[in-house]
Amino acid sequence: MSLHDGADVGKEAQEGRIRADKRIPKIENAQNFCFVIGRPRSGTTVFKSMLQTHPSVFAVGEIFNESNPRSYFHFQQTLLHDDPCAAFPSRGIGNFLKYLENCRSLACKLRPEVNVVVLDIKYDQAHLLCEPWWSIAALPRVFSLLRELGCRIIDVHRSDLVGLVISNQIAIQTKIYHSNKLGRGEVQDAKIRIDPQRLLKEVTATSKAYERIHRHFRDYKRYLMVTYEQMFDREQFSASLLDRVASFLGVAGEFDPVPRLAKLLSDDTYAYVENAAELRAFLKDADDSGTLPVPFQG
Amino acid sequence: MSGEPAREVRNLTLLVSHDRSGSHYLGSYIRSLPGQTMIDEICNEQALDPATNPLSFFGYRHRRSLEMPDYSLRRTPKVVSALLDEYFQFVLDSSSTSRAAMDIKYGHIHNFEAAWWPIFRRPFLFDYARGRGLKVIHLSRWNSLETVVSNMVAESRKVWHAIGKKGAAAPSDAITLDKQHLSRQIALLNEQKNAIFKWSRDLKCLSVLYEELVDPTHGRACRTRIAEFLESSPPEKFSSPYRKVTPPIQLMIRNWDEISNFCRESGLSQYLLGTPR
Repeated sequence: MSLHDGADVGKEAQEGRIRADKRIPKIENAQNFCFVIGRPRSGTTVFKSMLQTHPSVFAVGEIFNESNPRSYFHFQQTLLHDDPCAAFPSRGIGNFLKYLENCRSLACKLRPEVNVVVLDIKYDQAHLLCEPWWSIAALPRVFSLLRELGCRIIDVHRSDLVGLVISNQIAIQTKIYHSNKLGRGEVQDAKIRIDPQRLLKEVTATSKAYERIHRHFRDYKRYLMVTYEQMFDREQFSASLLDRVASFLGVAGEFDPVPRLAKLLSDDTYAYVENAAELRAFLKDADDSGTLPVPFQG
Repeated sequence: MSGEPAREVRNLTLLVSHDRSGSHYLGSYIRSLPGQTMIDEICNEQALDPATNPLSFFGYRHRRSLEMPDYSLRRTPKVVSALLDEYFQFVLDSSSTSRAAMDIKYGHIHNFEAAWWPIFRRPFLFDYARGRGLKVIHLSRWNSLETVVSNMVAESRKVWHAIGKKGAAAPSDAITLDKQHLSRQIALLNEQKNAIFKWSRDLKCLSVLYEELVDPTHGRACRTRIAEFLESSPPEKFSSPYRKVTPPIQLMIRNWDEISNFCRESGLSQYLLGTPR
């Protein structure tokens, strides 16, 4: 791995890095790293569990989630043993490149047949890898970094933004994020109150994030956008999605189409909302007045 | 935002500003106020070396993380608030005065972010400032064209401040500008300034324009307002060690005719007319 001058950095990086390190990072065979990115509650976990069923794929998990023992931050702790200055943000990019190599070594050691290493980054954690200087108007640094390196990106969107925000609020309030946390025969039956203004803010911010991230990657050949709503066909991953993903990753179509996680919520997310009538009326007004964002189509 | 506000932390003021907005000039003024300390860019590793300068935010976070791994591993809003409480308290305790201001550039704001923070939400630092009752001075420069050109000239000369032996730029340092690049940089700066104005609405915030601050006629009144905001009294006389580095932009842009025409055609003509009063 090294740093070199001059490469395809994308407009976002040019704008973000006004005072940042202008050298472009590099890593060997970066296309073997595939980053699954998305907002929480957009289906990234079930999607990643499908990727993991392939014999050539090794999944590291959410790399900026402290509860994952293979996270970037755990790796950073090990770097600190040799170099007390390793935690300074000016080292962030170099540390991250070392982390990627470490993930690759781990994958080769545990599963020598692997040739794709999958790493998850939630949009809401993406800013945790940063350089000391970065524009507040730009996307988090990691997005331009992945493009500069030449990694593959699968961006998971959910068209139903209201459903995404409600689902996220239910998960935060109940601390149940996936169905595997429920007991046998148990279902999520929580009822929560949603602040309509807050919901609108989150929906708007998500729509903006989708649009900006898609714009950043749309002319990048190693980018694939998938939507949660198109993921399944009669309780299984759709065959067309699996074909697209296999072709994108350059692997044979050997994914298991049976989801490893059951749906946590029913399709009617309003059923979990105490003030559902108020929320529906508020959103209808927002839609009529044009303040509710149109679902992002890509 | 959780936990009890630390009373002393309220004696801290954040000077939020962008590049080439005169923050060093304003910093020298704040430094001249009785009972007030001014701390340089706490997230600039060149200004405050994290390995050697105890006031560096990165250095402080690193040292504390060795004892409290959560400060680097589990950056929930509660944990980041606790870290900032400790750090700001440490800064105040380290200064010889009861009040302190610290320079935080737009480009450094993301360094205080908490985990699980949606992209494009108001940065965590602003929520923290609101919760703790911190004062904020937002310094910006109205003329975005001059600001961007000044930055480009500084970048090209590698001289950002005229102090001591460092000379001001001369017409021989003039640069040729690319219209589209200039336009993008202006749009980006304006987007950032507008975002900070929006995010500071519910804070104890004083907005200051560079053009007002250094104005020969009105500058004194502006500086007095700043002193009062900081609960201090203005000095009898003030003379900053910093001088203006960039001569008028007409002299610093080789293709001035092309650029000025472009500004007129692109809705940027207000920046050619000087500062409105």
